[in-house]
Amino acid sequence: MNHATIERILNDVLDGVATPEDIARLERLLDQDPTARARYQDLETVFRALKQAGVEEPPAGLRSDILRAVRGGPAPTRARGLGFARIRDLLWTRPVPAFAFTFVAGAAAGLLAFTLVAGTTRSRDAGLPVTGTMLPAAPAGGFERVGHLRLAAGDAEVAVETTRRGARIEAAIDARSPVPFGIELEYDPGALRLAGLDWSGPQPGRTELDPGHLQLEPQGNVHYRLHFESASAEGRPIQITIRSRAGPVKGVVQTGSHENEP
Amino acid sequence: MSVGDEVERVHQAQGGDHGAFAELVACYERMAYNLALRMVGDREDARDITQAVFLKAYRSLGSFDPGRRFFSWLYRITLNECLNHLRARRSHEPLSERLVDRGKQPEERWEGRQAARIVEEALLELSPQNRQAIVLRHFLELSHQEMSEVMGVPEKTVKSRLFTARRMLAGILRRRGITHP
Repeated sequence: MNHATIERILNDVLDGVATPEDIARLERLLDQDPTARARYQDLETVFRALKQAGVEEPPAGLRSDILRAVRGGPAPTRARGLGFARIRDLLWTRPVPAFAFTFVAGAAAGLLAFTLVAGTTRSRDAGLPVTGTMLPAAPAGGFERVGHLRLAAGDAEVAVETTRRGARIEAAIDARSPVPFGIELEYDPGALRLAGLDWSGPQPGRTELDPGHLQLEPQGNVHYRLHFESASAEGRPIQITIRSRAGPVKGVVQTGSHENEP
Repeated sequence: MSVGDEVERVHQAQGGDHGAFAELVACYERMAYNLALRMVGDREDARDITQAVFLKAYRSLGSFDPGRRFFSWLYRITLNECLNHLRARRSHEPLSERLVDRGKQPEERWEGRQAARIVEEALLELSPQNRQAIVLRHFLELSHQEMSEVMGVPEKTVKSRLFTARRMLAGILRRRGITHP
């Protein structure tokens, strides 16, 4: 057994994470090897001393001081949501067509009128109530599928499909989870510009947008549609991370003419 | 507090509910204080750091990602506060002076307390990175996986840092007269 293995087993045994096989190996080793026995005793001393130092109760009055300071201070800073003003600021101030904002605003107004006249309808493919879009349910003619990705972590599932026509790219994201979770999209802001975002579903949750970075926090089953404009004919990847209690899971979806492998 | 309750309290506190935030403070005050205490080795400083951590957490609740665990986020804020504090302290006060002063306190006559003090002082001889590993595992009893989440490194690195830190600590304790009975 080499030194690194001995060290690992010694630590694992004292840490309480060793396997029964490792415990048996250590017992045999300690019987035969005085150096390993001395090392074990050294480590055991460390564990015992640390246990003796123990944890301390916080000083009396600390909690009330904290709460007094909290009450006297400013309220929590609200996250920059993707509200009307935020979308307007992000889309309007870029060197890109301001029509995108006009389009989104027009679509929202159209939706309101549509909802008033026709009431709530249902998406054909997702079975979700449509409450937030006037855009077509499927890519319009001429769009070519360029990428797709499916990610799952615990109860959270995300399916992404990217389609493209010329410089226009659409990313359709189906997010499903019984509990809130996070989806992060990272892309090169020099190559791709987010021109619009809409969604359908019960509640879109919080949304944050920074150049090259979009964070979505769906609650329940939400279908998002993202509209990008590409600066070049070449496709650039979008990295997608889902964050749930099961931990982060990452994947990449393409936006160019070569579809990524499933 | 269950994970579900915690998510709910965070959500309420984000809306300015002081009562909900008070419950989060009650749940994590001990953790934050002990982490700060073991990282900086001074009770007054640990108290100040703990207060600063919760104030910062409250004000930043809007940017908290509910897809992540609140406790990991709070640990991270606490660790950063401690590291900032240590960096600031290093520039104007040598660590050894603090240790000498602390050694003169009368309660050190009590043998058990003295042993605990030796451990506290030994911890301060470790690098902040190694000390962090020891504190998270031995004082706050985080699993290797939780440590990996908080420290932002793979579990393998967590274990490697723990091995190194314990080996160094063994040497320091031996020099200070704490040996295997």
